[in-house]
This record gives sequence, C-alpha cells and structure tokens, in this order.
Amino acid sequence: MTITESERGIQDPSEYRGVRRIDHAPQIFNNQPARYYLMWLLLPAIILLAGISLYPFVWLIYMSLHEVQLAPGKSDLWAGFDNFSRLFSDKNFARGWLTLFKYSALCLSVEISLGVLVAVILNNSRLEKLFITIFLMPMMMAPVVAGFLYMFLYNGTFGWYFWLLRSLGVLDGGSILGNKFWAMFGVVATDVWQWTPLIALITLAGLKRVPQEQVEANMVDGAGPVRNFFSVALPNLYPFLLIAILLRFMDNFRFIDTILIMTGGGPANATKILPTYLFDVSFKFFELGRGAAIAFTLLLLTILLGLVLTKIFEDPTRKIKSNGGG
Amino acid sequence: MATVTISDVWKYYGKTVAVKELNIEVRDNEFLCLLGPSGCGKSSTLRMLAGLEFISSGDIYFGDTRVNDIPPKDRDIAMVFENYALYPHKTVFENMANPLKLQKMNKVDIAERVEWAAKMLEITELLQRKPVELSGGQKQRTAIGRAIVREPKVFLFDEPIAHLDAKLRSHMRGELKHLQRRLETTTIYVTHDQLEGMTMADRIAVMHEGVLQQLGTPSEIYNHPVNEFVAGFVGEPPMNFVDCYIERQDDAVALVNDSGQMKLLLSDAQSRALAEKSADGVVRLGIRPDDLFVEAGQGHGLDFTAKIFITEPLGGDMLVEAELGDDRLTIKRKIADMGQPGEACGLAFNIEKLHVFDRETGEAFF
Repeated sequence: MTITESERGIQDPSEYRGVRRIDHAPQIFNNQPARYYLMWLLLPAIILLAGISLYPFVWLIYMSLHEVQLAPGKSDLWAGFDNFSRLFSDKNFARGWLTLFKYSALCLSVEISLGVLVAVILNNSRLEKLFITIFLMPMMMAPVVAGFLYMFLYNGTFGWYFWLLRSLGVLDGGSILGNKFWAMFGVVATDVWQWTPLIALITLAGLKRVPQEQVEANMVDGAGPVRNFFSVALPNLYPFLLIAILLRFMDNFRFIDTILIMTGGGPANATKILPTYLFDVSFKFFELGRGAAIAFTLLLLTILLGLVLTKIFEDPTRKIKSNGGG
Repeated sequence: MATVTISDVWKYYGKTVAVKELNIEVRDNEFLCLLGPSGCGKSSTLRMLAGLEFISSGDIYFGDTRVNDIPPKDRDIAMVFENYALYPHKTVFENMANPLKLQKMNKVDIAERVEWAAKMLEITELLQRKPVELSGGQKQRTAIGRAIVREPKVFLFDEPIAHLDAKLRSHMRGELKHLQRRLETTTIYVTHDQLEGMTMADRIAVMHEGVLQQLGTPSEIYNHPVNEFVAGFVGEPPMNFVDCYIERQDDAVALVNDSGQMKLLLSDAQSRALAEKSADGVVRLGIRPDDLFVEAGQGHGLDFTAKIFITEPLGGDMLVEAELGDDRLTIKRKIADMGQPGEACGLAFNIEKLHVFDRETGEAFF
C-alpha cells in the first residue's frame, strides 16, 4: 500500500522537497546551479552519442578526400576533390540518382494514396482493430526477408505472382525481375506491400484527430463525403502525412536490402538506385574514397529534401496546431 | 422560411433514451429556444434536425417535406456550432464562402454575399485573417457569417455564445435577436442558459431527461410553469421552494410550512384551484425572490419575523437570504442596510404570485 502525503503528516507539498521539485519541473531549467548539475549528468551521454555519429562522419569526409588504400602497409593518398569531380563524368552516378528518384516517387505516391485510402476505409469500421493487426505483419518483417519472399513470388518457375500475371496475359515473356520494365514495378510492389501499413497506421491516428465539428459543419454547409474528405480531413492530416512522407523517403534513400536481394540493381541497371550503386562502388570495386564521396552527396541531398518537405508542410501544421488550443 | 415539425421523435443511444416522444411545431420565422440542463436531449434534438444524428423513431418535417432520410447537405439548413467549427486552414472569407462555393455559386456573387454578411456582422476588416488570429467573439461572428451568407430554410444554433465572456455574451444576445428578426428565418436555438432563452426566444421548449416539459412564450414559462422543474430552472436567482401542508379553516385554505412558523391564507381562486385538482395534505410552495418582501429590524409590520442568514449586494439591488423556521428563502430587493447575519427581519409574501406543486410528482396546481 502506498502512503499518501497526508498520511505522512505533510500538508503542504512545498515542505517536502522531493515533491516540490517534481511539481515545478520546468522551473529547474531556470535555476542556474541546477542547470549545471543537469548538464554534468547529461554530458557522458552527449559525448557517447557524438562519438557514435560524429566519428564515422569525420571518417566519411576523410575518405572522400583520399584515395583509400586497402593493402596493408600502404598509406592513403590525398586526392583533394578528385573523388567528387569524377562523379560529374560518372554516368552510373547520374543514372543512380535518376533511378532513385523514380523508385522513391513511385513508392511514395502509391504508398501514400493507398495508405490513406486504407485508413479512410478502416476508420471507425467494426473490424478496425483486427485489420490493423493483420496489416502490421509485413512491417514486422526484416526487409531482407521481404525481399526473399517477393523474389520467390516473382520466380519464373514456381512464383505465384509470376503465374498470376502470366495467366492474365499481362506478362508476355521472361520473368518479372529479369525484365527491364517490370523489375522496377517488382521492387516498388515489395516496398509498397511492406510499408503501406505504416502510412495507413499514421493516417488512421491522424483521422482520429480530425475535429468532428469541422466535418459536421462542412456537411451542413453542403459537402458530400468525398468533398468533405478533401476540404476538411485532408488539411487536418497534413502534419501526419508529413511525418509519413519524411520517414518513407528517407528509408527509400538508405534501404538497399530488398533491391540487393531481389535484383542486385539489375537487369541492366534498371533498379540500380544510388544506394545500390554506392554499395557496388565501395564493397564490390572497393573504391572506398569514391564511395564516400557518393555517400556524402546522398546525405547532403537527404537533408536538403527533408528541409524542403518540412517547409512545404510547415504552414498548415503550425496553424492547425495552434488553433487546437483556442 | 419554413415550419419545422418534430413529430413523435425518439432517440436512443444503445439502451439509453436521449429523447422521448418529442412533439414540437416550430412556426414559420419563429425563434424557438430548446432549453434544458446538459444531458436533457436538446442537443440530440438539434443534431437530428441537422441530419447529423439518426432518428430512432418518429418524423421530422421541414414545411411539408419529411427530412428523415435527407442527408445534411440537402436539407438547406445552416448551423452554428458550440466551438464554432471554423476551418483552420481557410481565411475568414473562405470560411464564410464555403457553403456558397459548395452551391456552385459564381465568384462575383459569392464575394458580394460574403461582404454583405461581413458588413452586417462588422467583421469586414477581418476577412483575410485565419481563424487562429481571431478572438472568441470574432470566431463566433465568422461562424454566424458562414450560416447567414445563404438563405437557408432553418437556422440551427448549438449554444453558440456559451464560450464568450459575460459582457460579450449579453451583447451578442441582442445582436442575434436583431439578426433573426431582420433575416426572418425560422431559428432553433439550443442553450442551457435560461437567460438566453428568456431574452431572445419567441417560444421556449424546456426539456428535462429527454422529455419536453413545457412549450410556451418566455412569459408563460416564467409566470405559469407547469411543474417544479420548469419553475426551478427558469429565473435567476431560482425560485424558492418550501414544503407545506394544507390546512382548512372554515372556508379558507391555508398553507403551513412543516416547522409551523409560516401560515399563508390563499385567495379564493387559489383555494378553488387546489380543490379542483383535489390537492390534499402535503404540497410544495414555490415563490420567486422578486415576490417576497423583506424589511430590516423588529417594527416592520410584515406578516412574519425571520432571521437574516446572509446578504449579497448586487449594486442597485441586493439578495437577502433569510431563515424562516427550517426554511431558507432568497429575496430580491432594492439595496438597503439589512443589518448583520443573525438579526431579525420582517418577511411577507405576494400571495398572488404563489405557485403550488404536488410534492410527489412536481406537477403544478397553479
């Protein structure tokens, strides 16, 4: 049994220092000595985290400026910006970017529209909880496993999807992943299968937060259900969609597991998105310097795109949030 | 521009009954107020009128059209919500233009209508702002603006001014009433504030626990409440209730309170009314604070001597709470020095304004 304050004979919480601290937690940060104390407590964690993320980053920059020697006893050669300038004339680098954008755009657009649609259908339906549980299963799977699973489904000998598409007459010859045109859709479908549930889940959480009164006001104003969704629900979903898009686009820019397993970037580089090319350069050709340069551009663009996306969605987010209070 | 008929309407939520056998006829261009405490079914009724809530049984007609199965968008109604329900991502102009845009009105006409409404509500200079930049009163005006830009059959108001501060609320009461008279549109207004009902409505429907208690003009409701609930709910400060029993002396009928300190001789008409309804034994007397007289000190010449419990000055007027036997009564009078709590005071009743209720059922005898 817990002992309450009054049972201890403490009437005023301020008499009891521990309670007082907790009651006024934010004030701790205005108190100078206490602030230093907190800083000291946090310092080891900050140093550790900085070490983990900064050390490799510094190494990345170091490598990108050197011709890294793998043979023992040889020291790295200073290369200046050669690794970067060589990228401009690298056709595979440009194509890697193009493929990455194509891949990411396809994945995002299908996942967002499908995810939102699924969320709208599931919202307030009786089977909501059951379906969510089922839909979450693909997400629990390691991307490598998903890659293998789809590789088997697409397999030209015993693949079920292959058989289905073939029977429908959609596919005229060859296998799915062996076809330059179909391979891209094959890998996109895998990503869609695995990650649409995440979008649906986030959207579903967003739908619960759409103010019911606005929806009703719009109905009274004369809007049908479709119109209502686009003019009231969707604007209220922006902050949630932003999170979903940010998460997914960054994943697309760094996950290579599924593609590596399924096609390895082929056929004829049709699915060689930049991260896959980076993998080739660094760990197949062992040109670590050039690989680091590619990685650096990838990181830079991810950050830039992230900022742009946040900017695009920022305005409605702020307004909807601050309106929530009043 | 339509009558509204609520005919034998019931509303259930699961097994809970929210509205029981409701029958109301709202006249053309009438301002009807649905009044009652929270949970009395008034909001459910309004939402059924709007089409936002399914009608469990019964019918609702706008004019001659049965609207039960008509979705809200086709009912030609305008509704103002308790929390205004403005679209946060749209400007005031866009908020107000929304219903017209959905009617596919052309842009020039929309601008004209919105500006007309904005001018009427004195929010013209706010048209380009977003709701987040507005005060409570401005948001509320915008919400009303969104309702009046088109000419709906019926206005529905769901406690539209409940969240405004007291001063603004009293101002808006006047404005809303003026607006309704000017627009000449049938209006149904839900509130739990009896003052709003009394000041604005043509007729008031008092509801309690899903049941319509009384439907009448504010003066009928105030002066002739049909039961104890209505009597106690309408009027500020609320009516005093005293448990009494009936005592007959020769021809006259008197009410005596349970502690025996108070004895009121009823008028002939009142005695007859009691006899007609065969009231006997125990009853409950009701008297409004305005219908009691109180004087300070001993030599007051009034019927009873009571004891001051507390006095509450209100500026020009004051409330006096006085104890008469075991009963405590609130009296409203012009401000005066009533002495200290515990001191004696004189007390008298305006017999004409007495109300007598059945102690069991709460039904009014008169």
